[in-house]
Amino acid sequence: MADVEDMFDDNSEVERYSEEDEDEEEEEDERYQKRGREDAKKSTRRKRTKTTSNFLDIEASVETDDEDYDDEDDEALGDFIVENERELATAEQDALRHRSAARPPVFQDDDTLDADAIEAQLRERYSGYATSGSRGAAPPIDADWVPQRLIIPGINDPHLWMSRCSPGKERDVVLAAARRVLQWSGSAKYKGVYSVYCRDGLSGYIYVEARTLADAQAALEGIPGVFSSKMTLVPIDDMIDVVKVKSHMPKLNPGSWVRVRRGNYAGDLAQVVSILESSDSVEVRLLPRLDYSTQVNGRASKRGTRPAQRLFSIEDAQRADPRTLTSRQNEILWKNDRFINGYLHKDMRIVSLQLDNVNPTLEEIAKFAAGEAGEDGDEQAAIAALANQAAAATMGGVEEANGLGARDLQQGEQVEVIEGDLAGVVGVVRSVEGNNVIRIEPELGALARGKRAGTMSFPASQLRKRFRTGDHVKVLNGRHANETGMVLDVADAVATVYTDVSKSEIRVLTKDLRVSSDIGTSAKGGESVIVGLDVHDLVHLDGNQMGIVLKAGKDMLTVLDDRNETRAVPPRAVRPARGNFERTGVDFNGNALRRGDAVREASGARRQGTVLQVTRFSTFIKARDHDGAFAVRTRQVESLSARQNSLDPYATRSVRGGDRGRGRGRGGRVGSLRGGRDPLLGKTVIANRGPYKGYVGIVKDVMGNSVRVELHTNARVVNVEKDKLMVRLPSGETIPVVDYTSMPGTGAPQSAAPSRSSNDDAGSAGWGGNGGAADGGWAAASPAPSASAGWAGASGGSDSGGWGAPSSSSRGFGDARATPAASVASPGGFGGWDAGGDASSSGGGGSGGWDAPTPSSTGGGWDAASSTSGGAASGWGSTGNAAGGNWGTPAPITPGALPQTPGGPYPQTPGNTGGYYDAPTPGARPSDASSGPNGFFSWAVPRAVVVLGSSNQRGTIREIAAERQQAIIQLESGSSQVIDRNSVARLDPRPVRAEKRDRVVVIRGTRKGTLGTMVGKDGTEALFQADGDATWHPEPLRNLAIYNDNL
Amino acid sequence: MFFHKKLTHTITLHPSFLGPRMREFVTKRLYKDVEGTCTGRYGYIIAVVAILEIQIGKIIPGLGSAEFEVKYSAILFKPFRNEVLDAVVDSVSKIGFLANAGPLRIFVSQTLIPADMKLDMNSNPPSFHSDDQKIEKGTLVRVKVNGARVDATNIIAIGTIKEDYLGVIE
Repeated sequence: MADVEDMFDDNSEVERYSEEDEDEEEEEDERYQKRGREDAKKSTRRKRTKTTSNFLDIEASVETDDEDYDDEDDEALGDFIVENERELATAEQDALRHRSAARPPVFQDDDTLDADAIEAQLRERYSGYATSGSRGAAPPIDADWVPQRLIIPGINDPHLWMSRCSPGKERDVVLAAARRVLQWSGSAKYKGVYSVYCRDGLSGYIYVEARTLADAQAALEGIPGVFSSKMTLVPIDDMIDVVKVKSHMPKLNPGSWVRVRRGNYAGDLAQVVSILESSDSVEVRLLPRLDYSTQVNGRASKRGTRPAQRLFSIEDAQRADPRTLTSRQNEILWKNDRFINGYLHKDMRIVSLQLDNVNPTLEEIAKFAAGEAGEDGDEQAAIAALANQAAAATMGGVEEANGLGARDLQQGEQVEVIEGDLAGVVGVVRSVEGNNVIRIEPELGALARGKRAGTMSFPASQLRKRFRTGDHVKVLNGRHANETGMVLDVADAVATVYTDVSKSEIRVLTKDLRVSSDIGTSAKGGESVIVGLDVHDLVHLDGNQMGIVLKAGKDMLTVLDDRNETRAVPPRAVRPARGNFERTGVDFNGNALRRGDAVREASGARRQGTVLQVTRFSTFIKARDHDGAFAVRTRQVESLSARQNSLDPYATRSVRGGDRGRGRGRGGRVGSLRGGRDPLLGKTVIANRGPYKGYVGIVKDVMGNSVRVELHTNARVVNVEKDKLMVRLPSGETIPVVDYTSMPGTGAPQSAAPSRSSNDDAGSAGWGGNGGAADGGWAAASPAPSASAGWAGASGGSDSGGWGAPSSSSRGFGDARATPAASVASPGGFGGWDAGGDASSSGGGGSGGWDAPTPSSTGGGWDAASSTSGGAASGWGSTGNAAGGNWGTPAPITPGALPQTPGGPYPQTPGNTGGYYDAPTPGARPSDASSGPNGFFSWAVPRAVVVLGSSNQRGTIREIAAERQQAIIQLESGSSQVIDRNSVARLDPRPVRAEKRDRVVVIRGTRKGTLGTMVGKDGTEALFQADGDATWHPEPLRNLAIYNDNL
Repeated sequence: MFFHKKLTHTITLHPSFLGPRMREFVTKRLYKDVEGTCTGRYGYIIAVVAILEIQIGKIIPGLGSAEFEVKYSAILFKPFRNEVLDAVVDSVSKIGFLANAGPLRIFVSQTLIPADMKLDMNSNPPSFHSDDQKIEKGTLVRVKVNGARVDATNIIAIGTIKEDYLGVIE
């Protein structure tokens, strides 16, 4: 109720105390007294009511004041700012206007009392009020103060009803209701309603404090805009919240930065000029955003485009609208706006300003300072000054009120005192205390008397972080957040930093810096930047171009595109390349290129480097001899890497086999269980669960529990977990992958055995020797414990063929692949082979699995098998034809489908090449003459220098064609010689033995394909130094061939 | 600043090197391994002066390689704050210039160049010049190191010539 009155005669209230009394008020006062007396008669139950009402009233009156202020025009403002005493009096009066039981007559003689008398009266009244509010009859000693939090409404207090009204009408309704309630004075209803109010920020609601619902409704009934029929009782517990005013009222200091929340200047930085006392408004100054042109046209500008920030220009204003332009003293008034020095000065309510987390950037401050600098142009100084203010305000002012207190400071940081008696003292932060007090240990130097200077406390606002040139720092906030660099220069509160990543200079406020040793990549973590974009990442540029990120700044990326051009683009202009799969490309020699490979340009400048990113068309290379990167067409790149790739069917195997095969004999088989080819590779699978359910694809790679499957439908490669996949067998049935891999005959990595045997030195291994050589090996192998499981698994190398290997027959291999079912190789082996090696029992329905093939006289090829295989697409048959080294043709899994599948028989595996090149193979070795050719085509690489055994002519292999069936050799005589399978035996080409310091290429072994230099020789071992490698490696001499760079 | 210091380095040799010329290999490897490298602690290792001792190698079980601990003495170069160095200007950009003092790159920002030296990007090569002095690529300058950041593999320093007796060396 008091509120109601408040609003009703807000101004008069003030006047009442300013000794301009009016009759009306007297009446009012009398009314109060009457009511007071009436109240006094009421029972003690009312005691709490009073206090409650008091509470509500005071709180609510805060709101009311706000509202009232808004209604007032500028002139009224001055009046409104009352002195403290007056304010206090008002508050007290508000309190009193509640139904105080013991209220003495106060206001009846207002006009006759002077201020002292009023004060005395107030005191008296107040103490009485408090006494009556307290429990005991005797006034307690400290009775005039009751903690606010204890004054909470109870069930005996008036209730609070909430009613809806039209949004925006709240005040009108409150005033109307107040008027009405006043008219009731004297009636019973009058006593029933205590207050009517609304909350600012809560539009559409009116609160009525009343005894009964009927009273509350009566107060609002019929008032336009209110829906009084529906009133809700506010629960007692919530009553406090209704009137709670956020106590947090940040203390603003003149000079501190704020941001405008709404309107034309939303988001703009503003500086507090002065605080309008006892109001919730401040005077701020802003850079005006004025659109002078609209005034010229006489039309409002389009919504949404707001003019740029610019200092006020009298000329423009004169031109646009001279009528409203007036000036007084240093101010210019134009269109109801006030401008001083070009800045717009505006009184704004604090609620419409953002006070914390302002974080003005240096750019904004600089812009702001442009006006300050004025004609003398000392922008630097202006910025520094403003920055200082900002720093001070942030550290001390606003933050203080928020209780965050100097959160910018951390223990151990160096600070400098910039204000007060001790200005200039430098110290180290020892602790940061809650109330924004920083304890520092000053470095007093000679001033220090004792051993230790002890610590001193300073308000954060008096401190500034201190950096020396050369300090390595990290930016904490703002546009350059997370960048690191070295301090070049510190000018007051602004530091210049030389960044690590972009090697540029940035200017940052010292409060945003912290000494740090880590080196930041600035692109990460910035909110405006695509998350996770890092240096050397592959990105899509416009169109179909791709590029890599060379530098990742926060708002600019430097990108190298595939035309080898560097450009700077905003982060939004690029899209990170999708997919976490590894991209590969095919290089000049048909080898796969991957990231990290050492490469060289195949032509042109022959620059060398490491592959950063590969796409199908271009490869991005980090140059070896300098820091930069460059882009080359993928086809124009030559891999120097020793690692061979999956795209080259032979290479992989022979490489793998190379090391392992050597001298391991049967032991190798055990190893084969671990390494080697996964039986799943190349299998056709169907996903039976998960997002790819129903998709059919081919297994490209197996990685732990997940499998990379190339989908039939769109040739995409996706990762699918193993347990979601079924393998489709050639018979058409499907079995879960898990079962499949554990099946005998498929379980073992298939390539193992054959690869072992596959290469030249394999002969030394029991296993390795193929064909004839295998005799010994197999004999050793034959006692294999269990043919069906163990063996089949182990020898999966024979492409899932179980090695029936009955001990009785040294050559008793079962070869599943020979079965017609072997179109998918390994399934042929299902069920494995019985120990007895009974072909007919093979689960895969293999018919002719057991060819029990007698190695042909030529070198142990499984020709027999081939004949029975019905031309199995597995290539078994054809390999057989091609050469003896069948074993070496490992796992032609899905026939024809993949590059891995040697659809064509490249008998990679000449276990038995002729000539000195062959390691001494224990056991029978096929004659060199016949198997030699295989040897040649297995190792032949372009540019290798060979000598023809037939004519003793030297030449260089110019090209290998027709799927390694044919080679063209450029003889030293100038002529060329074509070698094919038929003539190879006759011509007998052999690699020329390399000598020290020769340029060589490795033609066998793990490093096959690697170019390098032969550094030295030790017996049959050469010391080989690969290009781009600082160390040298021993390499069997026969693995090296002279490489002709000048072909 | 330069130091002469005794250091140790462990070299692993492949068994194929374990022969008559083993010592030679070890020596070569040492030179190759350490010369020109940079560690945060010692700075740049400029040159190995002498190999003091090659201890008896130890075969690594399972590998067959042998480890040799080599004691050697080397000349080290580590920049310190406030150290004055002579350097050769490597490049001039609009934010300052880069100079090399041996292996060390020193960046001198424009803010740490005397105000009378003006940047002239149009000259060829770009230069800072005052009335009587000119800093361009190849110029010898005397620089005071203001700070150095030590990475794992190199050191980047910031220098100043904005003090007495610094700048172009005639």
